[in-house]
Amino acid sequence: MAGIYLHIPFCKQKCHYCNFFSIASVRNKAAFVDALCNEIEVQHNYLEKETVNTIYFGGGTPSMLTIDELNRILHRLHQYFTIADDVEITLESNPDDLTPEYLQALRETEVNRLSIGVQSFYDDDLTYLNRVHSSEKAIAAIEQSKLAGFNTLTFDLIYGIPNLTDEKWRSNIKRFLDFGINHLSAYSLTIEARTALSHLIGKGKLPPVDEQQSIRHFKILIEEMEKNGFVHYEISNFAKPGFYSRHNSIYWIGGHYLGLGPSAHSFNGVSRQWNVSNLSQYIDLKDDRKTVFEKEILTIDQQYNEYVMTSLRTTWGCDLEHIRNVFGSEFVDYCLTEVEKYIIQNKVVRRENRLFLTNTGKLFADGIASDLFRQ
Amino acid sequence: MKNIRNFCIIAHIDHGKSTLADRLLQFTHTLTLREQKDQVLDSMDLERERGITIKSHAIQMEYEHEGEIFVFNLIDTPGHVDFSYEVSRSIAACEGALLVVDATQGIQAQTISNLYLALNHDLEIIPVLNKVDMDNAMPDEVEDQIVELLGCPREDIIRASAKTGFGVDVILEAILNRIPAPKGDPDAPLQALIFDSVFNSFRGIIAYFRIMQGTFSKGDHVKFIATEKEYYADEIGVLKLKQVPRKTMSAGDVGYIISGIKTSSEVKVGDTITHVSRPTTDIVPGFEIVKPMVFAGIYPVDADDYEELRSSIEKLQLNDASLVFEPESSMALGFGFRCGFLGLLHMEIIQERLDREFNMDVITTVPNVSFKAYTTAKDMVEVHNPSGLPDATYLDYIEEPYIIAQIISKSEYQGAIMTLCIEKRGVLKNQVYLTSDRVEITFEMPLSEIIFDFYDKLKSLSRGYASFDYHIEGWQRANLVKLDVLLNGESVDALSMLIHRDNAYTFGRKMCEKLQELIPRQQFDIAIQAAIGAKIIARETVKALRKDVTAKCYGGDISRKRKLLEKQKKGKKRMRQVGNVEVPQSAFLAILKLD
Ligand SMILES: Nc1nc2c(ncn2[C@@H]2O[C@H](COP(=O)(O)OP(=O)(O)O)[C@@H](O)[C@H]2O)c(=O)[nH]1
Ligand code: SF4
Ligand SMILES: [Mg+2]
Repeated sequence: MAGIYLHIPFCKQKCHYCNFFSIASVRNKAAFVDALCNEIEVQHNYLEKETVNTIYFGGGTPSMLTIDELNRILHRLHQYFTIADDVEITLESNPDDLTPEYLQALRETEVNRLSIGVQSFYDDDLTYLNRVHSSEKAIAAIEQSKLAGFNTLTFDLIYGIPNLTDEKWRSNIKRFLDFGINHLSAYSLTIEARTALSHLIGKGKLPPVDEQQSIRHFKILIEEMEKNGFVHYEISNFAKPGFYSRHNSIYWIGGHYLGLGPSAHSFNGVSRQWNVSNLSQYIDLKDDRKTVFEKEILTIDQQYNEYVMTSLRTTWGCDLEHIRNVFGSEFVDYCLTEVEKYIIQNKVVRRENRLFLTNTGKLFADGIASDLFRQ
Repeated sequence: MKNIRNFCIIAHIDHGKSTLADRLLQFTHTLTLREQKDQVLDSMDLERERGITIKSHAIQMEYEHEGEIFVFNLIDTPGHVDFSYEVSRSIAACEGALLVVDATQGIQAQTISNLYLALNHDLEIIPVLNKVDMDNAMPDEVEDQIVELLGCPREDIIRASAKTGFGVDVILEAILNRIPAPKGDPDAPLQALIFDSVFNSFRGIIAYFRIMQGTFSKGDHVKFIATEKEYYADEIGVLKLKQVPRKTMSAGDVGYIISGIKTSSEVKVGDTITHVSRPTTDIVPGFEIVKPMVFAGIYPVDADDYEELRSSIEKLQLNDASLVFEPESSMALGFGFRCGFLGLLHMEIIQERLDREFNMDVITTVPNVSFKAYTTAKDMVEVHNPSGLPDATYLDYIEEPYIIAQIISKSEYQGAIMTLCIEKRGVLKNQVYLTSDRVEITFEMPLSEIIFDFYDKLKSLSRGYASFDYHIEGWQRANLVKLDVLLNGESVDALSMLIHRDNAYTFGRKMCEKLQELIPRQQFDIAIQAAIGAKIIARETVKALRKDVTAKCYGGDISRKRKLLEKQKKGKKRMRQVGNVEVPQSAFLAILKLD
């Protein structure tokens, strides 16, 4: 299983919490699409003829691409990669862009999965986050998407926003459930360094986030989603069985993926590489028909560390048999010794030779993973 | 004997001592071209890197003058205040000294303190104004300072550049003409001064000596007077770049003796060597047993490395007899060693050598000075560790070591320096203007006050201009209390300290604040308290960590997060358990970083 990620680095305005590479100007969009098409060609051997099962347009705001641009990119991908017949093609979108006309046309493309950046159904939260759309727009976009015939939809919601009371959060979850959608990504609001949000909170211009509130929201979320038949298949992802995001799963099961576009990351099992986070540099590369990236080769220990860190976050857990086969018995023994105290604390359980985080453990996923790390 | 000149170079750090030594060796063809590298006499990597001379060295050169061959023995001296006793012994082995002063810097604290040592031994001083090649050299001004200090005629000062070689020929001539040949009677009973020792893994401890009186031959049965040990001289010889054996050496000569000595403590710098059969009645004056003044615990990061740490420290001791150690244990840190150092730099050097030469990962505890505790029964106990203090019911009083500190600075910083010294319980002893804008300030102050952050503060408030030197002066009564730190009610022995009562409250508070920064949040609240006896004087809390999970873990997040968690893992591995609290290594040195 292999995937392709395409980073579309444009946004109408910058959300306060955002630390993705994106630019609030479309001046260079055409040149960017050219450069992206060039990179597709240059990197066509990266996946070594593996069949591509998932293509993901992320960003940024991929819904700012015109239908023509999208088709051109997809066509190019078909030219240079082996793409599965049942490929999952996801487009991240901003409710703002999802007009009935756009959706109609989008339906005619190969895109078969739509991810909508709802974040909250309350305008005061959207203002706090500096989202470009309103709650009304979001509701309309979801309804229009369904009308246009998109069956595979997913939402993003954010919790832990200062104004988001427990009641409001429950109501956001309820609204999601009422739409009858099968997949949800829900993120705890995180204050990343060097974002507008961290600056504004630092200056006292916006209220800070409250850890306790975020923990309550997380618990409410798990409870409500599980009650409604969703599987908590990764820390921030829920789905009805069979509706797991194929693309996201690749990241967590150590699958290979090629990232295209500025700042995109690629992984082929032993090395990771990432493109420059600079649009004009990225565009300039087109003329030389090459790409520029940084690269790191993972040691065995680092490969193990990544496996533990990502697998523990998932519903499939950390497979000790897999560790034994790939890394050796010594790694299994080490892992079991280190995990002991978390099993006693009921943060981790061991079932069928796999380790899983309990719901309490999920709150400490990072600390636990780092304790299981080798160095 | 009339063809021998024994001399040393005295200089403040960085004024060019090692470079000048290189130049002298080069001009006298002591080194072949192949042997030439920078700072030849600084044999340890650490010395070359830090640009300081830690161990003293000696080397013999041959100088030809009007067809006659002269032997010049250069006895290099360590360049740091911690080693002032060793400097004094090197000086005692010489008849003259090159006083090197950097023409861009002028006279500094160590120039003066070492100069006084040299003058006390009646050495002929040859002032050398170094670095005159530099654009910012102030030759006239610095010559004024030298004339003022030495009371010498201006013409006696040699302008030179150790870098370009300018003036080096003049220096060599001056060594020949101005420094007297050694005196001494080759027929008198043997009296040789030990001024240094080194360890050789094949030959054991090798002592360096200067013969003051008498004659010394290979195979002689000799005695080291202070240690009262007797040996046969398996080999004696002179110190060229390599050791060159000799059959016989006599008064005025500088050389080495190999006699199968296994432990470094048998060779005491300053001791006198004499013949067993015809002993001298006079020892070379000035012998002292240097006692370490600063103590700290050194613990292996990994408890399994305890034995390896012991053997590493033992090996270091072979080369460095001033390092002492004894096993100790701490509730927080497990098994380790209490080590005694001559001073803070010495401590840093040992730490670094453990790391570099032995690859030992260690935790070093807060250092403390040596105290003398007097009991009600009038016994004196030397205390090297706050926990070693006698029980309060038997304790009569405590004495702490005092130093005389000499600071030389531009006069504009004088006020700030005085404030700092007074804050550190200093008492002003003297104040002299060296020139109209340079002042030498002498303070008497407790040694304990300079082992924390004194030097850094001095440097920063004088923008790096003030120089500082000290020597131990004696002991004085001290009003000390034991300050304990508790984590969730459990006392952390490795953080206890003896501290002056007046400073205890401020210190306790700052300490708690600092620890609050350094101790990472854990799964429960952590109370950090500072206490004197049962009395809590400060408190801070590290709030429990209730959530530790990243929201997003896609493409690029994975390696970023992995690196972060790997770093955390590394930190965690080095943490120590105190009760239920995990304490990072940095916390054990928190005290050094208070402001
Ligand atoms: N320009 C110049 N630099 C010098 C001279 N003498 C020494 N130095 C430099 O000053 C620094 C300190 O010299 P060093 O011999 O290590 O000083 P020490 O600490 O007294 O042994 C080194 O970087 C030398 O290269 C000189 O005459 N002229
Ligand atoms: S839409 Fe996404 S990429 Fe664009 S600014 Fe907002 S969070 Fe960042
Ligand atoms: Mg030097």
